[in-house]
Amino acid sequence: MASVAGRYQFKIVLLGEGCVGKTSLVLRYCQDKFNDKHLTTLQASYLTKKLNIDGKRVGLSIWDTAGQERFHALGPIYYRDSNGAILVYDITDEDSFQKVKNWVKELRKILGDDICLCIVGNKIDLERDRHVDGAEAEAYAKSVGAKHLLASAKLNKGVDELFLELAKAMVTAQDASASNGQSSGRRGASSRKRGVEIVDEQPAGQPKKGCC
Amino acid sequence: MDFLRDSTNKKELFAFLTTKVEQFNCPASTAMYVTSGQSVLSISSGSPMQSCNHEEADTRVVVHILHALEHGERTVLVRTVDTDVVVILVGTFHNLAAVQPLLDICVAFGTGKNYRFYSINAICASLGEPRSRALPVFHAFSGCDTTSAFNGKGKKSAWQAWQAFEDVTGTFVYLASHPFEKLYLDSESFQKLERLTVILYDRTSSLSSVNETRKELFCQKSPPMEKLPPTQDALLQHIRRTVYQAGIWTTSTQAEPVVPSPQDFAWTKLQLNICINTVVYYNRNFSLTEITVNQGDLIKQKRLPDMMCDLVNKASLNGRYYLKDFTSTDVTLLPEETIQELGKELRYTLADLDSTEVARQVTLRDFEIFQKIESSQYIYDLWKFEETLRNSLLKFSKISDEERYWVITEICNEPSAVKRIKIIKQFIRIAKRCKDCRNFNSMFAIISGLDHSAVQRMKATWERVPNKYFKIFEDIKDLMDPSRNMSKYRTLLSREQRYPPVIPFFPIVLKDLSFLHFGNKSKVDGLINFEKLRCISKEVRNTTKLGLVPYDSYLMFDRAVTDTPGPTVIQALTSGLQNKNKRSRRDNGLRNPRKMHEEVLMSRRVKKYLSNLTVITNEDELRELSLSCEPPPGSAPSSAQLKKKPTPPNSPGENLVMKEEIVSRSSTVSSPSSSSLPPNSPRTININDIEVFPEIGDLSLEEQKFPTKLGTPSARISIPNTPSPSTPDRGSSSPRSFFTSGKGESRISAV
Repeated sequence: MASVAGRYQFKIVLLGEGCVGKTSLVLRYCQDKFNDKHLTTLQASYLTKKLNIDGKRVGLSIWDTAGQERFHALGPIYYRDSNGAILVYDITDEDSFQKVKNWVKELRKILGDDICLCIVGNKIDLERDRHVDGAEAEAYAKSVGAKHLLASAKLNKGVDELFLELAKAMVTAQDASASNGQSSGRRGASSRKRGVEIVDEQPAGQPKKGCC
Repeated sequence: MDFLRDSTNKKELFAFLTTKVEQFNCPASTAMYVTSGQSVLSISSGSPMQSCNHEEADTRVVVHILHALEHGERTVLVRTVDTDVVVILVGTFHNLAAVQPLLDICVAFGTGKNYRFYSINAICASLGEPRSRALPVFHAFSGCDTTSAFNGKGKKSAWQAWQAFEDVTGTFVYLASHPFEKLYLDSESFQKLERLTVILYDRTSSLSSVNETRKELFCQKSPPMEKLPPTQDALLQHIRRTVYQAGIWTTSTQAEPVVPSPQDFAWTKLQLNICINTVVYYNRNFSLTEITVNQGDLIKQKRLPDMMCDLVNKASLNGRYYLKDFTSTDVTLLPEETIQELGKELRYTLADLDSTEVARQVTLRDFEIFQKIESSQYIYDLWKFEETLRNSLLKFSKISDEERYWVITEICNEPSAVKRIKIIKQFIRIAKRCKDCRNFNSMFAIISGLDHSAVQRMKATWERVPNKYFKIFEDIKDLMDPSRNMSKYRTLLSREQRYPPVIPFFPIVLKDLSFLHFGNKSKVDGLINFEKLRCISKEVRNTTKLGLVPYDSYLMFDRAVTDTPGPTVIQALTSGLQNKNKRSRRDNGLRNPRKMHEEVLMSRRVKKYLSNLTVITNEDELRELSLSCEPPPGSAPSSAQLKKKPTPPNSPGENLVMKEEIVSRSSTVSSPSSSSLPPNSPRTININDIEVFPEIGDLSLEEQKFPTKLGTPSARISIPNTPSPSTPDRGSSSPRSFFTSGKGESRISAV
């Protein structure tokens, strides 16, 4: 979220129905291995990746919600304060695309335009079983101001591009808000101010306890 | 002993013994009498005795003494182990002394170490004649083998009461000399004994009625039911039984007394020829009815079938059971105040319920499902087997969403701001109680419900939630901080899982399993990856272990979460002491019948509330409800909202507190951000600081190490070189420790 001396740090959350291949995408991207012979360390709450975009150092922390799709309550915990969201659907599964639409709706409602969205159709290696119309998906993405990409974690197609695209979008968004100065600056300041205020508030609250 | 319990065995044995004893060769100077049924056999030189119909040897011995005295004996030694015999002898001493004035009776009493001699003469001399004669009646009154006794009142207290109320001696003597006198409520003797009972329970009381005393004692101290004196009716039954038993004892000088039927003296004869002391009323004209008060004070009467079990749990909260005489034409079904009281039951809302009880019932309900998830269901869930094989797991995973929507529905459905605040406070309390009893799943569900955008957007309401509650809310929400793989929650869990039962935050359980599953191949080079399977099984075992011990509904809140790290021996000891204290306090509360009644009522109210819940899960609908509760700042100026606030509260005290808060927080209100964060949440800053520079954070924390590791391809999994059986706690504390300890070489187990 913050940029420190030309260094960018972004939080990305992966959302989508179960079994659409969210974890495969991230594992593929962060470790560049899908069919590794060895067991790898796993079950991190988030994975990290460092990038260099046009000389700018960008750090991504990627939050995966795998296994928790059933728990709607958990979404807000993960997507809060995210700079970007990757909404994954399975091109062979129409329902998973509907799910993506729900997520977009919720994210836009809660986070507004502060978040860069990227809709990804995964499993393009199964093109012949496609059930989600590519053009329709593309049109939908455009209508909600999101990028639309296709990928296959299995074939390692479009995975790097996907994260790079999103990272670029986030850098642009950050730069824009920084140069505009006002909106983002004020937001940062206000959030910092909030933190200070709590400190102020507690002493004010204590004497009240005393008189009760 | 069991052999002798059977009366036919006993009879046969004694008949056998009698015939054997008959064959003894007795010295000429000795006379021996053996009883056999009703007759008495005399052996050797003794003069024959008349037969005797006494049922027990206790009283029969008196007949024998009398017989001996009549034949010129003076000194009598009675061997017994039974107190009753001593009492009978004291009671009849003066009658016996009339036959033989030089009489000297001794009792060889007890066995073994307690074997000793009592002189009946000495006892009677110190008691005096009236009290000696009264003793059997007193003995029966204060409780003996065959009569009822006063609970918690032994011989000593009864004796002291007698000392304090000497007048009653006359009554005892009267009853001793008039055996089997039938007493009634208005008999003088009964009234005297009633007064004695009052003194027995309350030395200082001046009342003469036990019923009055019950009332007074209950109002003064509200002691447990069993510590109250009996009711007048019960006392009458007791005294009748006393009179009957005392009658048998005092007529023991007669060889064949006329004993009336015990059924006239408050004994009921059952088919099995056992007399038990119950009174049964049965009347065809009465029937049990349930009268309920329904919506709009509509009163319904329902006659219940004669045979109905489990009445306690079948009674509805807005109803009462009555015994109604259905031949009567009285139309008043319920007194007015009862209608009011029962009608109130219908209007109970969440805010009126006890938060601890709600947490208890929610936890017990959830645990029942959690407990049913078998280890295999986790595996079936990972490999997406058909749903019937993993139904408990699916059912349990639905719970957190349900509970979350329950919170949102309750809050958004309440148009009154004041009540909405009460509900928010209530939910914060419930969440806290869920945390206390280690139901982390519901704790998270409720907090994330409060954190939902439809609830959070009601800024004006949140501003008026007292700081104290807001602080608790923030503290619990802090546990949900997902940074460093939910490290705050995981630390808490690893500390608490030593004290099962625990209901873990279920999404995290499933997440850990999913990552184990997705992150590792099941087959490597065509060989089964046992390493992965072992990791999964360990994780599953750790989870199922949490549900092995059931919740004790009374003690589940006793071990509150302490913020100290691992308990040392001393801490464990002191906390044990604290538990003990808490428990005993609770026990005291339980013995208080009024409080117990209230608790049971409350728990039934909560159960009813929970079973009748209707939850809105439609996000749009919830948002609309939320908007109607508090219009968006655009449509109504926020200043107007601020002004509106102080008006609704009903209590002036509350009003004051709220105003103060509005002042303290009003500066933050001005930013009408639509973020789902509550005003002035400290979390925003926390997360960012940690996330942005994970490496800078405290590396000594385990949780810190592994998230960065995934990125480094060199990190390989391995079996921990030491399987660490010595420290099972560390090993089982969380799946993380497995991976962090794996710094050695990688190994693959395969077949």
